[in-house]
Amino acid sequence: MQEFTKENLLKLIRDVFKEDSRTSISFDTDLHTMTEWSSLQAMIVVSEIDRAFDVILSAQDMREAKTIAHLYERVKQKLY
Amino acid sequence: MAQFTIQHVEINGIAAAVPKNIAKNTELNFYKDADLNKLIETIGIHNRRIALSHQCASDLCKAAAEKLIEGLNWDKSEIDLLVFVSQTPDFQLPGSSMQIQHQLGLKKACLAIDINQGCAGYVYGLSVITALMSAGQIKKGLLLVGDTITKNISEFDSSLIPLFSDAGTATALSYNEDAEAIAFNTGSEGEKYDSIIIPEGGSRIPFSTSSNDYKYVENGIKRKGHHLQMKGLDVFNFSLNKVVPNVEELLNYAKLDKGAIDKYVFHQPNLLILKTLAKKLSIPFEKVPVSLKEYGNTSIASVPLTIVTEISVNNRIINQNILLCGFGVGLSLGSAILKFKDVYCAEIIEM
Repeated sequence: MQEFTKENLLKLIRDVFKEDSRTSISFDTDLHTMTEWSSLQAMIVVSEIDRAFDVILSAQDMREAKTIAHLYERVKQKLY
Repeated sequence: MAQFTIQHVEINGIAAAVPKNIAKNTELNFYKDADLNKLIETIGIHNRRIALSHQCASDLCKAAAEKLIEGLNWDKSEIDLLVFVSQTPDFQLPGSSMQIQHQLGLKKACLAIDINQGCAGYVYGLSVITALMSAGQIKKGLLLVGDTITKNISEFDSSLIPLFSDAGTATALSYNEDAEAIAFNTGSEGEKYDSIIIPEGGSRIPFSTSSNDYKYVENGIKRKGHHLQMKGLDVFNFSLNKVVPNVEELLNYAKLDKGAIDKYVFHQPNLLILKTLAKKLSIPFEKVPVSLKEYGNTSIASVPLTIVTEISVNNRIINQNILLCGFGVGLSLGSAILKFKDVYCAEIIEM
């Protein structure tokens, strides 16, 4: 389990992507427009968030939350 | 969830058959090398078995059944019951079980039943066949489960092709008053029926000329109306949210600790899901056999196939408490705990 912070979430999601695209990912990047984004990537993100913060985001969460900032809010809602 | 116990029936043997036609995920041309390596690492699937055009699930199951009957030295005339569970029967009508009864040379007095079930189907099939046998009037039965689901996947579907594979299996069961009780826990979420679906070609949306037209879904995916479609993330969520409580409820119901289970044999959707389930259940991953690398996601056949390929030692499984768990199409899920006292497992058949 990790402490739930913006920085930890950003690092977690950057690590899901290939090295050469990680640095371009910011808190406001629209993940859905990235060429690497797919339902498999979304699954990996859900799994990593669950592992790190013990929160399972739903398919609807993942469809609606386009940026890491949105994901941060969804996880926060479920945590607190 | 429906929790129940069935007594006096035991598994005597299991056999599995796969097509010898192998498709390699390393040769998929949808992906760049780096993406492909990551995909293979995440899903854990290197090779898939693809049925040839003339091979049906019933053919794979029949081959498995023949080998099993021979290995157990069973007399076919003693088999009173045959249950065939599949989503890919030979015909829309009639069911395949009667034809299988004839082709296997089973007696005409044999009760033959078809069940339409998906990834949870092995557990559902077990619940039906053991319930029918537990009264003691039917002494020997065969449970055949298999799918040739790859025939229903678009050749332009980069999301499904890397996952799915074909297989057929046979399980031999007999009545035994001394057999340990089998505990089941089953459930359904029919409101999510379209999470995994072949939408056209049934009575609700009959096959039409437009069913044969490719429709663009998203980048890398084009499908016809009679192709399989899956909302991967919905199914992933279902697996994470429902399977863990289902298994924990069953363990409570059976009054068993997690440590009392020797193997947890889950349906094999992909490696990410299996690893996540093991973590959430706090069970060591060594207790979760995985057949994905060589056989992929064989839908309904995945649980018995995994037992044969990953647990059996010298063609036998002796004195093991095994928890079986299937989940998927329906959506439905089911788990069962069985004592494998002395179970024969035939060598896998390639055909």
